[in-house]
Amino acid sequence: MGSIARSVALAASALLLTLGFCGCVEKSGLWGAKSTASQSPQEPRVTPPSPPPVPYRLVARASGPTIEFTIVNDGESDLRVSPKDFALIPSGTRRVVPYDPETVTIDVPSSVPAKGRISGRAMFKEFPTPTGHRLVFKPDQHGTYADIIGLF
Amino acid sequence: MAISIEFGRPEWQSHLGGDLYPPEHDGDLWWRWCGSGIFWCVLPKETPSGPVKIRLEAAPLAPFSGPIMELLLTDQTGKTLARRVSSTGCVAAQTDLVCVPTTHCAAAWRLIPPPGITVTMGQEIVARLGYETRPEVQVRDFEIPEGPEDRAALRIISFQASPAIAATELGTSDDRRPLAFRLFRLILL
Repeated sequence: MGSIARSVALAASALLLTLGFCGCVEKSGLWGAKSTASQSPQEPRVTPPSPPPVPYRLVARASGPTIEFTIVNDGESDLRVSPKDFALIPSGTRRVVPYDPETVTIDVPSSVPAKGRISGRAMFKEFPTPTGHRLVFKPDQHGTYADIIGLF
Repeated sequence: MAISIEFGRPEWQSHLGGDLYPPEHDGDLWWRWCGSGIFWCVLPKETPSGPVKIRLEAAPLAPFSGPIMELLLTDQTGKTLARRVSSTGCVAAQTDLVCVPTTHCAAAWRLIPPPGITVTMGQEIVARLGYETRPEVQVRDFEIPEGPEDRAALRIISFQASPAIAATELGTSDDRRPLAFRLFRLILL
């Protein structure tokens, strides 16, 4: 008897969770009217907090063996740039090719002004046809990358 | 064994970056000009891991071989209306600034600080190099601290030079690039 009661309680909890989830995510969705469960003060939070947006963007294109890239800083403060912030992920692999002055050339200004943009160039000697690879830019804990597109 | 990094030589270009202008040369002598932004040099892997003594051979932009004055014309709000730069005592003669009688403006003279280069590693300043205001190559030595134990970790020295002035402002040539120093060699002693 006790086990049946526990099963019912679990099922009810699951139902409440489901209703709560639907209420949070899509209030006029499959279940029609707004769920009353979402108004409960003890509603479990099922939506994880979204991570802060990365405050910069990267665009890259290939021009022969050279990768021409642009970094856009959407943040409110200047962004310091160093050659070791760059790496390459060859297409179809999980390999990360880091900056190494023996094999990689990075020509880029030393900072991106707040709400500004800079352009730079990169060459990875091992990858003379960079189209399709990914250029990685990771100046801090965030990091971003861009698919290197070819010029037509 | 000393390692000599020549700023203008093609083989060292992948070690250099930031606010540097393209390499120039005169015969076998190579150099690169820098502006007043940050530029860097990634030390080669052969660099010893301990503290390293470094010699920088550089020549500041100093076409007059003497101090440079700046004349600033500002309005009531402090906004700069015009700026002229020249050698001491020549500004008044060379300037073509005209202050309209109905405009409330102020003119101020300023002696531009002598040339200098600040050297940093990471966020730490490791040296402040002062230079005489003359265009000849001047040699300065400094020391960088011990590097990380990881031999694969890159050691990057950053530099920031000042002041940077365009030759057009000085009236010495039609080069519009703001230039601070002509950099020749970085020698790891």
